[in-house]
Amino acid sequence: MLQFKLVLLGDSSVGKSSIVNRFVKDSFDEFRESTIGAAFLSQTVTINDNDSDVAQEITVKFEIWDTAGQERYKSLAPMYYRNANAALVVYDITQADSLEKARSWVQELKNKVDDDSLVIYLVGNKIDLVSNNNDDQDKRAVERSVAETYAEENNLLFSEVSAKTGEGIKQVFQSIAENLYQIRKKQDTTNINSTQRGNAPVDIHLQRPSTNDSTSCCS
Amino acid sequence: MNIKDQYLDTTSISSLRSGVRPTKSQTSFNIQSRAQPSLSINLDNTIVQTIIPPVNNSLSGDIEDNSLLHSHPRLRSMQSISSIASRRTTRPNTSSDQLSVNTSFNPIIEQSFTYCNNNNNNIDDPSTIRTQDAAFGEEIRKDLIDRLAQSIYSYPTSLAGNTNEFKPVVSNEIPDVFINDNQIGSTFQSHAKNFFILTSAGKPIFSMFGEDKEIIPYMGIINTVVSYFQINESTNIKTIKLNKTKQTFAFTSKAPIILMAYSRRGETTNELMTQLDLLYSYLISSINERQLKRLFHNRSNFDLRNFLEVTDFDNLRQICSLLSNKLYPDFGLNALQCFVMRKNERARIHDTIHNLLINENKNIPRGTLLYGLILSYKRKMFKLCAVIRPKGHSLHTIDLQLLFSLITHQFENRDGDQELWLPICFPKFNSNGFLYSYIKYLSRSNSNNLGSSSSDIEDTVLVLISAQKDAFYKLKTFGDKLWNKLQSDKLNEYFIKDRFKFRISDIQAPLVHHFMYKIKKYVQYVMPEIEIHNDDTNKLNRYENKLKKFYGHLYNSVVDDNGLPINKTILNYLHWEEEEEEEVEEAEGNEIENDFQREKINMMGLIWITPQFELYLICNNGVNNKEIVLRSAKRIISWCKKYESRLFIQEGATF
Repeated sequence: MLQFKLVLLGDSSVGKSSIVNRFVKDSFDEFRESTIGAAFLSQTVTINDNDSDVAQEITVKFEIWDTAGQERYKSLAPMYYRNANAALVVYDITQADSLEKARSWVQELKNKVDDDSLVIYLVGNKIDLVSNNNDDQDKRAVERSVAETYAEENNLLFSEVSAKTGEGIKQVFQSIAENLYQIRKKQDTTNINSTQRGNAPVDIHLQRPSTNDSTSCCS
Repeated sequence: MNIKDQYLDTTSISSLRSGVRPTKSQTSFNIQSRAQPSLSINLDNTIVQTIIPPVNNSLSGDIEDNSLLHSHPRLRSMQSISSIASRRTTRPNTSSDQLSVNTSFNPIIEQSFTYCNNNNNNIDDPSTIRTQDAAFGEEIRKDLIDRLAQSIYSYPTSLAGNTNEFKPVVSNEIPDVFINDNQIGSTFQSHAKNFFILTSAGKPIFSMFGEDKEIIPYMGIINTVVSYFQINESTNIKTIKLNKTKQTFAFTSKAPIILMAYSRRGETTNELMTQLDLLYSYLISSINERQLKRLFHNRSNFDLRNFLEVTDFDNLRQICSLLSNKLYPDFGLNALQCFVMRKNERARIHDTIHNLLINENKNIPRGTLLYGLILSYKRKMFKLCAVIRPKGHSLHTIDLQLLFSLITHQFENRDGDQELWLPICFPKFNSNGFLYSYIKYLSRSNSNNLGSSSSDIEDTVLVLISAQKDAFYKLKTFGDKLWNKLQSDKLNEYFIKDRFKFRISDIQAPLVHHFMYKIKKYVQYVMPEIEIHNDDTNKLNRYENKLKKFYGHLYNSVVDDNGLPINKTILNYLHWEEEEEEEVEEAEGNEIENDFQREKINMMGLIWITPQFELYLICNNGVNNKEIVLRSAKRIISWCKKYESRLFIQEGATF
């Protein structure tokens, strides 16, 4: 079984917790408490490896950080995305500001996360509010094409979803799992090569003493 | 790290704020300040009118209120108890001077106590015990009383673990002697109680009731009143009392935040100030003082509402409702409830935690874990199952209560298998920094599935608190190991079901309806389970509200204006009776109702404060023999002492 860390980022009340809830429990609550700090949970998906000689099913376990969108918890964010394999950056298609916020998250991830293999998925939530009804089109504040172009330019995966109806949610996680699996396969091949050359990578954990932390009580 | 030692001081909050008892005068503002010992200003009418007119016109509703008071003749103020009692003639009372109690009583507690006759004449006059009405056959009466008493105090064994035996249903029927003041009418002004939080610039942050357009003018007035005293008297206004209409306004100014509580429930300034402190503490738990000061540093007109979350407002609302309408003694007593289990069971759990902490020394270095709790959570009440703490240190109960209110809301529609990592500021611990809490459900009953077999499973929550914001994985690993260990040793069974629920009927304390007993040393209290037939929420709310008011009166009868007990050791009885006029009004109801005579109100309560414990006790209606009540009180105390190690966490797992 493969294990990946995934973090959800985005402005407050764009529906991060609802997306997770739809993914994990396949349910939806109209009224949710806003998240404080972050919630940690896990869920597995299965993917098919069609490339191999023998088709096989692979179980992928996601360890998910559902973070608070509010600005005041921003200082905690690095802890959640530091070791992430994938990031789901969520915006609300009826709130133009939320896409701006999503852009800044993408930027922060690109600047702060060294790992080139980090999969970033841009997700526009709440399409149920504008679906198939011309009157409702007014509510849409972010055109699909705008976000799509931005995603392409920055090499992000992209789709529009609805946590309320469930539309597109499963596919998002499925495609993240597949992407990560492909990356892991590639890494494994190179790792094997490098191990054969005798340069196995060493894990070094560097951690600053947290007492210097201005937000901790020991300051 | 400096852990404050006001931990044991139960009534400290308001007492810290002002030192001296103010003089009471009906036509004046009572202004108390930190700087000046006692400042009572008689503002002449002109000044009062310039400051207050809008308040008089609408918020306070002078005129409406008077009429309200008249339309509720049942409101009995404590001040005139003795006078009413002497007027009464007709009633064949169930005074229990002749009640025989079979079991002989050993006075286990031999403390001297002061029978306190305080000047506020709210203490029961001994002359209220009246002679029996001879018209009743003595035999029949004795028999009835005997049977009643037996049904009330027959099953002492439930704490010993005998849960399956039949228990009599304990009645929730106690009369309401107080005005029904929850809500009269539906307008904003009609609320008998309200809380306002605003910035020092007058911008609204929160109010318990009222839409924005309704509250904004009041925010302005509050701001003006507070500023008036700050500028002209260079002091902070503490309270405005309108004695005629029993309205109290209490103010707290902690720049950049101003808080005001309004009540016409006869609550004391002290009670209101304590409540305001709790609301302020909540704000600080969410955004610490340093952040708050920074936000307002260059922008005094900053709108704090943009910075708070929906959850914050929900939590504030929840705290307000607990303060106003629910029997939630955690706040009033400033103590916590403990989950009952056997002494050796709790010791085994604590040993397990302790040993694991030592074994896991490498993975969870010293200093990572600051404090840990295993909590049982039911009906929005938290009880302590186990405590992990550094030797000699403890968290303040207010800090823990704030944590509880956060947990309640964060899990409202989350699944039990999620783990939370919450930054929280503990204002009584360090109001400028955040701590981080790892929170996980160990077991969760499925309350949505009615009738499921898991309904008697308690919700159990593990909380591990650290000062390091990246300690999540360390605490998670520790938490997982702890839970596995508890499960493999089958220790989780001790707190997964509440085996030792007890009711008042389990204690041989005749004629007692309900009590609360607090041991100051542990800052923990016990009270009998409150059960309502069919879990009827409305009934439960009404019942809790009644109890809350009785206890409130009891408490206020023995504290001075600063919220300190008037003596180190106090024993006080309180008596509530109804006025005669009541019957006339009731008789106007329809004829069927006339066939049933409503029980007369004749309630007695007892409050007993010593340096070691506090006992609050409410008797069944009709009980007015102080000797018997005192005997029952002593029995409750000795019962609590006997089971002290089960009812209270004494040490915890210290490291």
